[in-house]
Amino acid sequence: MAQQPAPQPTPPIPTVKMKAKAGFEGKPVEMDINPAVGDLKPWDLDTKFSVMKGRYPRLEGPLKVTGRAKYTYDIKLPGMLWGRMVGSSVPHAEVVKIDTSKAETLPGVKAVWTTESRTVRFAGQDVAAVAATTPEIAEDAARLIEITYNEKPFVTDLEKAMEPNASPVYTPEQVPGNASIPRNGNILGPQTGRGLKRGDIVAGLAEADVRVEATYRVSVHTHAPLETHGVIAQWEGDELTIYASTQGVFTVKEGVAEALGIPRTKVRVITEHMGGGFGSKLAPSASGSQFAVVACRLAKSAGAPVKLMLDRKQEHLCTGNAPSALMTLNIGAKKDGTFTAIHHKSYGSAGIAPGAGTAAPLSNLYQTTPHILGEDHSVFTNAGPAAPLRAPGHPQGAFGLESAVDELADKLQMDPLELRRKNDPSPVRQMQYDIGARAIGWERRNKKAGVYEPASGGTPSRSTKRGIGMANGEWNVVARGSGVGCEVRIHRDGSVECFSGAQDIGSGFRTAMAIVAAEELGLAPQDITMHIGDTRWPEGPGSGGSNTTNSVAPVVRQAAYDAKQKLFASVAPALGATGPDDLEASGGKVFIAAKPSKSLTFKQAAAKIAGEQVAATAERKKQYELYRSEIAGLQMCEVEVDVETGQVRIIKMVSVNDCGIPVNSMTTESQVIGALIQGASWALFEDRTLDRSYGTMVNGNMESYKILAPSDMFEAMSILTPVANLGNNTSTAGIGEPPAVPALAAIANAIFNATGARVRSIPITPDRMLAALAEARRRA
Amino acid sequence: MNRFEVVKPTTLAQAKDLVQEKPWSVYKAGGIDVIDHLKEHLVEPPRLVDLKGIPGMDAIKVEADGSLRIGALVKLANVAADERIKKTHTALAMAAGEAASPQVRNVASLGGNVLQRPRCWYYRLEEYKCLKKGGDVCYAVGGENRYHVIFGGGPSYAPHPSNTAVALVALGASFVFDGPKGSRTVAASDFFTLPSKNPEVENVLLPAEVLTEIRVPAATGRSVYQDVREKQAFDWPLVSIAVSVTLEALVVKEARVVLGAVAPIPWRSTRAEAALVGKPFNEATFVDAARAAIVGAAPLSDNGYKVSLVQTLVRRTLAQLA
Repeated sequence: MAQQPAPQPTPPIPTVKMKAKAGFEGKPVEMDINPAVGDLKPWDLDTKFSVMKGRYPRLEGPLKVTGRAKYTYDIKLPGMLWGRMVGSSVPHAEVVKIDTSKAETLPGVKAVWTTESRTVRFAGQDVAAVAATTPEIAEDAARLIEITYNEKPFVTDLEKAMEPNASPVYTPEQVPGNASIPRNGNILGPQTGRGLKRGDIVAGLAEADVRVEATYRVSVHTHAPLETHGVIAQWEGDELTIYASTQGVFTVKEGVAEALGIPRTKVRVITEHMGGGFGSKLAPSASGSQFAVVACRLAKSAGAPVKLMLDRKQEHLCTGNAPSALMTLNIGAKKDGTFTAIHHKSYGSAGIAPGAGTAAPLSNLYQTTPHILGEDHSVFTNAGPAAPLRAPGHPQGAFGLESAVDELADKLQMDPLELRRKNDPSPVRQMQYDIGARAIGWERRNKKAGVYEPASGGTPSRSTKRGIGMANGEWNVVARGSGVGCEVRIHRDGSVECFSGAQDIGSGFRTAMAIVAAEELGLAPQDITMHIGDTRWPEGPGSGGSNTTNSVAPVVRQAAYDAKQKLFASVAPALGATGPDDLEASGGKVFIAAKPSKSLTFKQAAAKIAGEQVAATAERKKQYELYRSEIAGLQMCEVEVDVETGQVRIIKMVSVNDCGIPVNSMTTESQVIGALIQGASWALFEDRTLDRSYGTMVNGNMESYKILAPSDMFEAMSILTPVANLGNNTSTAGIGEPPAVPALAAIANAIFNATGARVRSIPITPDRMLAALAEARRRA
Repeated sequence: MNRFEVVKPTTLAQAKDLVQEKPWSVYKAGGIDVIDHLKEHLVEPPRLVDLKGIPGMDAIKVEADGSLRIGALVKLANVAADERIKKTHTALAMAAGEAASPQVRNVASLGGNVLQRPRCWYYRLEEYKCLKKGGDVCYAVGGENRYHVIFGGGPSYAPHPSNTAVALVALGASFVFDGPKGSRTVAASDFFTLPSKNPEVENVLLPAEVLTEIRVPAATGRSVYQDVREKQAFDWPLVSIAVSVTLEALVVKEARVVLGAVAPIPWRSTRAEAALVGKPFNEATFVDAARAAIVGAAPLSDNGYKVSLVQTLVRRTLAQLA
């Protein structure tokens, strides 16, 4: 997600100069960096780890697999009521009347809320809510609320919304977004983001010997986390506790406090375990709903805690989605494959919200191309607002860009991997090309698309064809340089607690932070008791943009280091050391560095603490200088296509990723495999379908909104290529977004290699595959 | 959710009385389809009469002549796993085994699968008061119709969802009912009805009737079932097919070709059958039958691809039997 890093503090904080070894094994680079005074030297290529980079099951794994982990959905409080939202049933209207009288008189109904907004712009927008003693009564009451609408014309289709006479979603003065962006009807743009304009695009295309111009489409994809959005709101006097299924406990705290007009000190938000979000749970409530605020109001007015979880249909309608895209790519190259220009022009709809851009991958990929231009347009439609979804805009954009690069390779009769390599200045990805090619068996691909070669494997028959394709991915190191804290306490009995308010979105954050603390303290991860997901603990970021680990890990390390120094000070006399600087902690022992035989176990050492504990709190001061700001990655894919039925089966996907220095290789790989599954599901199945005449979602469930299931699963392989990036004292980077970027294009390119048919629309369903095959036959 | 009671009688007579006693009461077998209807408020019965307490309706019997008598409460998983059915009535075991997911197949009954209502997304959404719910519009026309019918449509275009029904029609099965007026047996090929007759129902089931048994005659030839879907499991076929063929000296003596997910009923392609009977059982005949099968197809705006899927599946399925 494109979370803005917190602004760097001004005036500049005092720094120190140091050197560290950046890059990756085989290609080290000595770099000068300037950490803040008191900050630790980053872990780098020379660091010998004892805990980091290992493979550790999640600390909370046993709780989860035995059902003892309490997700928000599982929490029940004494006297708790059940809330339920009521959304608009029409896509565009003035609300004339909301009659709640029947609902209010239903026995068991304790509170009712109605919206103050008179305009609804999408089906599913908040209109009313109820709280009752049982979920069944709440549902009945919700159905008894009678809403009178004055319906207005609407538009839900992207291309129809672009027409000059399309029904306007907003009046000109209501259009959201930056006023400096040109607007024309429902279209906002063009907008050229950072790093998306270089040289002269017209001249660059004119210099080309070979050009590809093609248009690509992507359907709207919804996040569909297993746990829907929801909260439990509990008032005790004027103190409010919110149990939330959120990616940002501090965001919920701030947003709810502001909406209710109460001090932030009165609000506590807790997320112990989290059932998935993928970017949709970064808002205080959701991109298209205020349900969390409503739950707090219902609880206040009823005088009882209220649990309000959205149902599956509401989850699809009002909690966000990945925008649609309609992209035209224009690439020019010299005969030898050197790119001269890339023009990425994009239209997309984020529903009633702006922010449907897709050109961003061009700012990272092929940076030696002399002439580039990215032009994004957001098109308003009467549909639920989008929300960040794993590298927002990048999977769509990479589908366009990386499909077009593949088409160019075909036109140039070049190996698509070699064409990419030729135009890629990233040393990291240059290394990754070889690793990915080896893992998929790149040499097995069909030399001529659609022409089967025995080496490509599988069972050749008249109807099934196999092929191999690839696509590049990218992302940026996103981290908070300030506004992140951590506390570490070492108790007198040798037990250790680590406190970070940030929540575990499901990536294994809790375990990763225990690993960082354990590395610094010379302990094992299970020796660290983690306290996370609670606004009572030091501030942490929202889990978005692949920023959580590399924002929080450095303060965990720093706090562990500072607490360790205090422990060393307590224990130095007993070991006969002159001071804490003579000591080291490793392997569960504290010892004199110069004389390791002079040691105490960690427990014995802790017993020397004068009081009950030593504690240290650290705060992030600044982000260090980065080896590279781009996180590089690529994916390779093998597919089998039944050319008579149009069914596509993925055989294998390989994801090669820069992940900084991985903290926990097991959960990092797991996160990558999750992205492969999500990408494959988007590529082949997922498609939010709004009825063209009525504007409501016809597949707002898990039956017709199709998500990849075990039978569709393929061999998923994650290969991590550690890179010491020096961006923080742990050299970690996030991995949530990068592997989500290339999948759509890698799959489509593999399909082309298998069949010779180019599918330019996502999802690639049998009907689209059959149409593309027919088109390929017509051309041949 | 409206309040309703669940009663679990132990005899069919009690069950029939209980359903008739309170108007709009419904029977429940595995419950897969009924509970979906309840949750979406498509039906709001005062009473659910659970048939699972009635003994004797959950057995698979093979008679001396090789015919099958399958109790309506037999679970799909048991139909799919029955070695006898797999051997003699292969299409039925395959269709049952491909349905939904393992969890659903372990709960859903064969009778319930045959009687389930369409999965059309407009029918399944309370807010669309379509022809099937007493309204006057089929929203698939001019709407989102990529999964709808290409044969037998009008005025409603929802495909029949049961793929075991497709196999049962191909195997010449019949259904035994017990109702207020006594028992009757209806051939599977006569049981399902087109929307042109009455769009609100898919068959000739009478009020308060219970499907008690599925009878399948001894197989004279071989049968097979196939389908094409988007997802490999837990998805509804885009097109399904069951074929039963009896050969004599490599010439087709009898053939039944039944298509699913393309019509409001399991769709017997009499044209494909005519193209097979009396012909040598070879690839040329399969191609002719496949071509015959798509004659008369009338796709809507977004489901033309089903025509080519039908053609492919007819040819392939016949080839699989060769």
